[in-house]
Amino acid sequence: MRRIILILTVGVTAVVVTAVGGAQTPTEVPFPSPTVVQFFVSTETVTNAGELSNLFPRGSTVVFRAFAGQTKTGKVLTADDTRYFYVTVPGQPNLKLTYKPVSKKVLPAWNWTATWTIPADYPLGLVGFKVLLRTKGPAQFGSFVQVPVGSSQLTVTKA
Amino acid sequence: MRRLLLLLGVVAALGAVAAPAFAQVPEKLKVFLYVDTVAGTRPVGVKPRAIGCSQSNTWKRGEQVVFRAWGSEAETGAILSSENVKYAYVKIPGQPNLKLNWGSHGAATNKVWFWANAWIIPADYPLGALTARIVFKTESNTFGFYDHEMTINPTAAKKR
Repeated sequence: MRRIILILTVGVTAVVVTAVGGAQTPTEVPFPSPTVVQFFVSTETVTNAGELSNLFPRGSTVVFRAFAGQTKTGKVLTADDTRYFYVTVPGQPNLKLTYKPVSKKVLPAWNWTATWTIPADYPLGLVGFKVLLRTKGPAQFGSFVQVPVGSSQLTVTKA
Repeated sequence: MRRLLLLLGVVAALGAVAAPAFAQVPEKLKVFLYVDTVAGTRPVGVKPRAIGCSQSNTWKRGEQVVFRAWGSEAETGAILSSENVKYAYVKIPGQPNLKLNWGSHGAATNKVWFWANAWIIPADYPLGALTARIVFKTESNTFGFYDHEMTINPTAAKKR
């Protein structure tokens, strides 16, 4: 009987410890996720002059630059691979990313770009844009969201 | 002769790692990286920017540049962390390598994880364009590279 109680006690303790250890700390945002399943996607926003920025006044143009690579093979995404690859901006039509291989020999090669001219009446503040892709053939997906730090996310300011 | 060849080999290898550009951009990568730079709130001798942690790649001498990075191993899809990375650093021309550290950032209610470190631009740092190369080496001996292009302008207005 003692043995059974001991075994039960050990078993219950193990379950409790596993549950606590596996639980996510409630105050932490799960970023980045522990694994990239199918495609790693990276995106940055730059001005027409190519300057990295997240602060854009109404009426200015945001240039989205992106690249993506396939998990397992490491292959960098090209136009031949994609069914769609676009930027979604709240309240705006989707912005298709256009493939144009860059001649500059640096990494990453920002082969994909899209531009968005911010409407004069677009709401001021943070813009929670996302970038989504799907491959041709057997469907594989990838997405990009901004690092969840408000002061470095795309923000529309007064003109 | 052997020693000379060895020395030349070492120099060539170091040059290849330090070079800001690739002979050809690879079609496959072993490690994928996201990198950006944001304005640190503790510049030296110059005014901090109006919004700390805002993104930029155009800087003035004395400003604090914070490099942020995250990424994944292509083969496994695993996110790069202190569990699977041997070392990570930023190579800035003319500066000691800047080690990147894995850690949580942000307010207690909104913590996110990435690799980061800050660099104060020296008052005599050459003006103009530069490429900072971010290097990751994983425990499985794969490398990740990222060339972050920046511009350095003359010193900003003095802090009052």
